[in-house]
Amino acid sequence: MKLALNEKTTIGIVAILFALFGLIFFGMSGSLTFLGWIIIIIPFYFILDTFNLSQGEKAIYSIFIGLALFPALTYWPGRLFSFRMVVVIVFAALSALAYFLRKK
Amino acid sequence: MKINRYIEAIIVALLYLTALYFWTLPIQQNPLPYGEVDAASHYAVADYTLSLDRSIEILPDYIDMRYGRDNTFKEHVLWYPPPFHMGLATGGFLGGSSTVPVYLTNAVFCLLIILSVYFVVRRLFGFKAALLSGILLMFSIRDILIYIWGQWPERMAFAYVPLVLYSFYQYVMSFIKGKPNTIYLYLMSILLALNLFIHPMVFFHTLLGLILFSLFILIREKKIFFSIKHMAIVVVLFFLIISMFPYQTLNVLGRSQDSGANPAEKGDFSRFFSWFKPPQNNPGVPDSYFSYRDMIGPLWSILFLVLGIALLLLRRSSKDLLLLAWLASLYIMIHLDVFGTGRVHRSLSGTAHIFYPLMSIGLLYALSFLPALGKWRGHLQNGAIIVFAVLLLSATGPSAQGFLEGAYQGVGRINGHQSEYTEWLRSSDLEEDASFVHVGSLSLAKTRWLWMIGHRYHYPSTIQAEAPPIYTVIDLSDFALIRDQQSIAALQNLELTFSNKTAVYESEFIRVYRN
Repeated sequence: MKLALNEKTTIGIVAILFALFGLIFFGMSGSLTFLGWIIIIIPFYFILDTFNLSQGEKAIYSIFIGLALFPALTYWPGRLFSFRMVVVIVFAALSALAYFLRKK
Repeated sequence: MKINRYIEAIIVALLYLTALYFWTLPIQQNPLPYGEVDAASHYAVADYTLSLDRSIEILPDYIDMRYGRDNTFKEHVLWYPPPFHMGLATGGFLGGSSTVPVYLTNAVFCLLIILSVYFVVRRLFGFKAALLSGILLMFSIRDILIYIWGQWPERMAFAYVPLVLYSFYQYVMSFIKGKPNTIYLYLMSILLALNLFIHPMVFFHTLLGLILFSLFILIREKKIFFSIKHMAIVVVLFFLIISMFPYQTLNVLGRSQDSGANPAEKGDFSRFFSWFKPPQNNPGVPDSYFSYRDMIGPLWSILFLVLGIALLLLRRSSKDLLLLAWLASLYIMIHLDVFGTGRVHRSLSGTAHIFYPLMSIGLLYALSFLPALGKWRGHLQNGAIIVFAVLLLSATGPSAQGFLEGAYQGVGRINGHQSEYTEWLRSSDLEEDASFVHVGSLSLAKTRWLWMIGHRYHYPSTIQAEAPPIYTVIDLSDFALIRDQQSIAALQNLELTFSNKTAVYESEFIRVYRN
């Protein structure tokens, strides 16, 4: 079987590399940490996908915006509700936004 | 050099994972938290958020004891803009613990500089220069030292500098070509606001870089290279984002007026003729921190650095001006003490981020003079780049690895007995506002870790407290580990004064008594 490299398979390979790295050196907790962050960044990538940017730019901007803006978005709701629940809700909202923008 | 973009993405991921491997060595060897007092404070905010399962606004008593007045705009409120610490807490939630996942997330954040430098150099100067810069940055010793000591947000914030500059560059280029691409400007605005949230000092680095690049372009083009309307939108967007956290943003902007400069350096204009002169009053870092050879690389590497700068100065294309603006902004930031302001030794830690790309560009420039040898030219170039990397890394790599492997090992960080004690303490029903004197402390940082992990205020017995402590912690554990029988005997002797009391906590080496 020949693996054709494209956007999705590359994201998948990178995610697997990080998950394996985490698993080998830090166990399941490390693996979940890395995978979790990759999953959090993905909606930002798809939101940026709706703009005229190169693939490299989308990847890098989604990482830099995602890693700082996502936690920022959890702060105020986290004052009122469970922080853990807020992380999930903010992620769901961003995913829905990405889906809506791509469908448009 | 042509390379498939997907394969390149995997190469970059492998580069980043290699860096992560080295930078997580301190936590691979020992999963307990480590670092100086700054590390303990950053950890504490994330840890408390996780334990409370709520974001922090008003500081809990034990954090307030130290940081209650650090927010000069509104006391007793979180002093830093929340994104960095919420990020650490998010990592803790993802990994299901407030220790290793928090440190892993921090390593991911602190290593972002490799990604941004790689990306910007790749887009502007090609794959080889980018890869070489990324590899060299992995072992940047000054970055590593600051990372293991605990000035974490500063490490992360520096990664935003090249990316903000690149975004502005892209907009300016598109404007000059008559097809302004505003998305870059909006992205720049978002990244600039995030940069301010993560670390205000570095935000000023970025801002100065933008100003200098604008000046350079203005001088060259002799015309306005942006739309007032676009700029207005950018400013509004920036202020909208930074207004998310008013108490913290106003605090950091207010505090940026504070001078952290060494008064001895004020008016010393000779400073302008050196990249950095070690300060007369050491700000608490080893002398090697100020050494090019110990932090950046062997002195011969300066030749390539100078070549890189010379090429940019001679060519002066827009991308060259961008890197020169970045270099000049750093130069100004690390000479602000001449005017009696700035935190220059902290700014100095941005040096490798621009020096390594300049060296890589200088090396490639030197190699461009190789005679045309057909297909051998490419092989010769690649060989020379590998030799350069090996020579430079053979100078910095072993020290870098040594610092990471040896970071806070042994009694340098809290030991298993102390960890057990703090775990007990944080879930105990002892008063949350109680103070604990830590007898047997090896350093202020170690006591700070008991304080921050135990969720109760501790101070070492070597300092004078304002109020008498409620509890005394007799801690023999470090002395037992280093087999210091004399100190153990002295502490046991002191413990006799509590012989008529029952310990509220008792383990093999740690006892806690109510006074």
